[in-house]
Amino acid sequence: MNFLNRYWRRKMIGDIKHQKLLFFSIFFLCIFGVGSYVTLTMGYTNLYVSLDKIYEKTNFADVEINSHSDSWFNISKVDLFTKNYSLNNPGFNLVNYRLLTKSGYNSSMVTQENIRYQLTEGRAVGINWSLSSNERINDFIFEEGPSQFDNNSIYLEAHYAHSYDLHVNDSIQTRILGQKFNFTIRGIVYNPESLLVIPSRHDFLPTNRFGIIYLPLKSLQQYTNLTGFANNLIIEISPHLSDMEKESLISEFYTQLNAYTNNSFAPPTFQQYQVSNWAINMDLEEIQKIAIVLPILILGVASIAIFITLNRQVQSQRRIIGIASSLGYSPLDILVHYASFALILGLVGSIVGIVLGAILSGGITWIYAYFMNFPTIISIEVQFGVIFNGFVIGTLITFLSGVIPAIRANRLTPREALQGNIVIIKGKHSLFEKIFRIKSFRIRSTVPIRNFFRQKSRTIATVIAISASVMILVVSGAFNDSINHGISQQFTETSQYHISVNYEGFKFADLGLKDDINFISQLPGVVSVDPVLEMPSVINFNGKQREVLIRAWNSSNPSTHTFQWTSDTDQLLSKDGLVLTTGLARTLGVSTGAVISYGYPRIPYLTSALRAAEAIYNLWGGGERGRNKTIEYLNELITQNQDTLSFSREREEIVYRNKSITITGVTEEIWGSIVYATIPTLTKVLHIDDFKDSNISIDLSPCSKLILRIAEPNNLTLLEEIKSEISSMNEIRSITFGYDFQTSINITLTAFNVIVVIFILFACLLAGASIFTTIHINFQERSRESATMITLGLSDSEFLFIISIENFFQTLIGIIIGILPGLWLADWILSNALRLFYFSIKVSLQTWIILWGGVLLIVLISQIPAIIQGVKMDLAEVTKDISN
Amino acid sequence: MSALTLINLENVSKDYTMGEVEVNALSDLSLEIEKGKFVVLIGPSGTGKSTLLNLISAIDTPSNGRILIEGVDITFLTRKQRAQFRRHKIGFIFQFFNLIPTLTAVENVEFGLALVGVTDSSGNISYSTKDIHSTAMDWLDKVGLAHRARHFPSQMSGGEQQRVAIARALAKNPPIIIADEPTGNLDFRTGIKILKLMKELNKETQKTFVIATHNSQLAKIADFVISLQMGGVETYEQIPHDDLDNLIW
Repeated sequence: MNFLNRYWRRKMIGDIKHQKLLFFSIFFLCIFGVGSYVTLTMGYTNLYVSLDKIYEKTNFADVEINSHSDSWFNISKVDLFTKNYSLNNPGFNLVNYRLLTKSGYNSSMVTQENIRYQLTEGRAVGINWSLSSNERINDFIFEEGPSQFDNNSIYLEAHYAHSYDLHVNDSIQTRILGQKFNFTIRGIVYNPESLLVIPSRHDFLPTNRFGIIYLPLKSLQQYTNLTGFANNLIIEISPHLSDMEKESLISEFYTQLNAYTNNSFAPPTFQQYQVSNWAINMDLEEIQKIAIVLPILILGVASIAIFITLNRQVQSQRRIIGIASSLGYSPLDILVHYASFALILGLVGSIVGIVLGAILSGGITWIYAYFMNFPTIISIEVQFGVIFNGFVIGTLITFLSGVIPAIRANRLTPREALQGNIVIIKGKHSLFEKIFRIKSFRIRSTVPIRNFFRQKSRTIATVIAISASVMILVVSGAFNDSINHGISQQFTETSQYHISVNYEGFKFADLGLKDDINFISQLPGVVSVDPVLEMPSVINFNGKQREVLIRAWNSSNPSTHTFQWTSDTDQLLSKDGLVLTTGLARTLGVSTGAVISYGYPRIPYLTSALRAAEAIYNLWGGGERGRNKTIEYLNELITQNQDTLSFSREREEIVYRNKSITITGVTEEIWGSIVYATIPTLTKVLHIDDFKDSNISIDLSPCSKLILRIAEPNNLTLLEEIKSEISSMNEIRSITFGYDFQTSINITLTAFNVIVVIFILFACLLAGASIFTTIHINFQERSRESATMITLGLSDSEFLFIISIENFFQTLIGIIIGILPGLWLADWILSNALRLFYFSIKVSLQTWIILWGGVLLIVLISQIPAIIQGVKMDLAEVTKDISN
Repeated sequence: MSALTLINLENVSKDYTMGEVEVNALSDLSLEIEKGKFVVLIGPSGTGKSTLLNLISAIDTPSNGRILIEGVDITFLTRKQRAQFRRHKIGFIFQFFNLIPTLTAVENVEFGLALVGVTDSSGNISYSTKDIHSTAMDWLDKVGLAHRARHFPSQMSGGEQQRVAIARALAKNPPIIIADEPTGNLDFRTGIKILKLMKELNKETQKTFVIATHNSQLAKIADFVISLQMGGVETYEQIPHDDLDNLIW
């Protein structure tokens, strides 16, 4: 084709050389758009592939089934059932039985961040170590140590080990059901179920606050007096089955198993809902969303830039087009020539973007894996599907944005093109002047205002480009500020505790709790002690259901917690209501005064009921009389509450159905799944008081943790002394310092800060490139009139002022337009990306100053090349140039 | 140099580079132009007409020699000083009119006036928008375009645009009006009208007009002719031919 001949090629190279900065800027935008798509898409795809590899290597369980809490099943009995079941169902590959218990650790170590943790929370997992590697489900990836156990050694989960710099042969003191054990670490391991260490969906703890140890099943059974028992079943299903077949198979298995074991098991948890996998997938989904939004923004700006650049190119080359037409080049040749600018930009930009994106995607994968402390099996692969998509999207968008100007060139007749008439811009009074009735002429205001409105499409394009950058900046700033403000408010104004003491289970008021409180209250430095009851629950509103953790205080106005009420109608904690956190209220769509339904999983109730019953049994002196009295109370409880309870002694099951309760307030806090109540409210709901005999005055108010305020919270020696005294008490699982917790969350959120910095850099580059492009084009298009103004005597500084004022207004409008969508996007990301937390949108004054100042500065810097060009132009030449 | 001399060029040369070729646009040119003259600069393309205009109007600087305007040497003025010089001393009329397309006719005139201000009845320089507007309207009236004051360049004919450009050049009361091919983009009749207007204004205001053209016929209407030829420069004074309607080009 003719357009490929060397003259056209030379012309094209010459045109590009002539406007190298401009074309480089557009080229950069193409690279940036395609590169961001490839980087992020390949990054998260790599992470998915890495996960698959880790899961495949470790034989990650397809399904997990737990027996109801505080109940265990006989392994031999269940094994007999599963073996029979697998004989009839060939897709049912493997079953492993495990014993899971709560545990606490006393590492006595100082973390790399100089934080001391003693008695941190955790989990002990007993596994059947005699199984061969082919038979093991949720197997380990060994970071350190041999793959063999002895009875006094444990494997420690790698995240926790890294936090405290623990290695093989280090010792760690563990508490299991109140008993202390000293173990030697035999190995540091990763496990697929704790790639992100999250205790449960409603209980987020930083990785250095929750340790998992793995030890032989028999040893753990021995420590817990549960020989022959387990409470966790993990299952591997044939990979050849479809998801639906798997679901059907497990559903059938679960039904039969529960029938066989008298409903001993909680519903199965499929792999996709396993808490670590669920949380990682949420993260990756967010990256996936960003991988769509960000390239759209950037490529959108790039296509606008290409459109206006080529439009300008066609306009300024009318004579060349005319000459070419006269010489016999067809309209198609001309169309192809101008469209090929966009095509080449798209092709080369896409290729470079793909290469850079592929390299950077490795970085994204690595950064994520590094911050999340993944095992080293990280897959960085070239994904041809992503490359193909990036190439097609990048090339197509840039090409299409160049086609319209090319068609315009193609439609010019030789006569029109050769006429070379001066292109006269249509002037008109701006809407702004009409509205404000501005009639007098002033160089410094009239000229910029008219220029601002002279080409609406150009102004809109510039404003869109600035808005896109502002959106990214607002998202980054709001993200950072909201998290910092949320954490700061939570730990300085809301949660005014300094030490938290966690019990193994529940402690009842007259059964030791009051003694503990008295003991702790008398310790030097302790100002107050608040008993707190925490228990999981499920709440429902209008069909929306959330798993939550109910946190209850003894008092309606606890000394260690100041609620941040969100409306005047909010009240203190009442005895008949719940207080929701903002995130939860928003997710459920409820506000103060709404009535929601809530229910308890059997877990806490059974624990409380049985412990209370046990307490009553003991109070009645045990023996036959005590047992009868206890059963009598339990039966009475059932009779009185038949509408809400069901009870079966044989199945040892007590289940509450959903009850209704009023929301009495909404407090602004960072927790995404916490609900507040009073202990009397929960005690009433749990019917614990029903265990009391009218002849015996006994307070069975339960408590699961104690919250302490200390006179000198910054006196670490004092804190350590108090901790040391408390750790000598019975039934204590863990003790944590408030400031440790805040620091831990800050460390966890470091990864987000990295993302914020990357976003800010992206935004600055995007703003700079897009603003440079539009300003450059604006200037080129007006070079004759600019030269005229300077020839007439306008000084350089006045010229600079006029240009700057116009750009300033464009920037101003761009910022204003970009702020709201930016805040909306930030809110959307904050409420979606961090589902365990909720951060209300806050933007600090500092961020606003940086945003406004930064964008204006970028604009000022971006206009420098155009202004230099303006100042240096040959006035005599340019005032005669009719193409401008 | 006589007391009437307004523009004085002494041994002025101008060389510049066009691509890789060195071009000698003007060579050792000396001439004097007196105040109030209607000067026509003629010569074929490439003889340095535009270069000479650019040097006189301080758009460009000479390679050698010196240029004095009203006795002041402008050869070595800084960029800022040259802008000030053009602002106060030169009125420009371009071949392609060069009106600011986003400004109305009167605003285009006001643009020039706003840079220098206007002299009020008490002889003071005023920058008030009212005074500037009033002066601009007076000048539009003088060029017969008061009724088109609120029109934009895109709404006016070429001749009208050039008249606005003349008003813009003269309104700020500069001693020199530089016009490079002022009729080059106009049809014959309109061109004649523009020349008539310029002549009239030259007589009325006693401003010095320096007009460059490739059309030797226009030399007939000049008081003073500078003929730039490949071989050298010829200057002569003459009694101008006032019957412009009978000019043929």
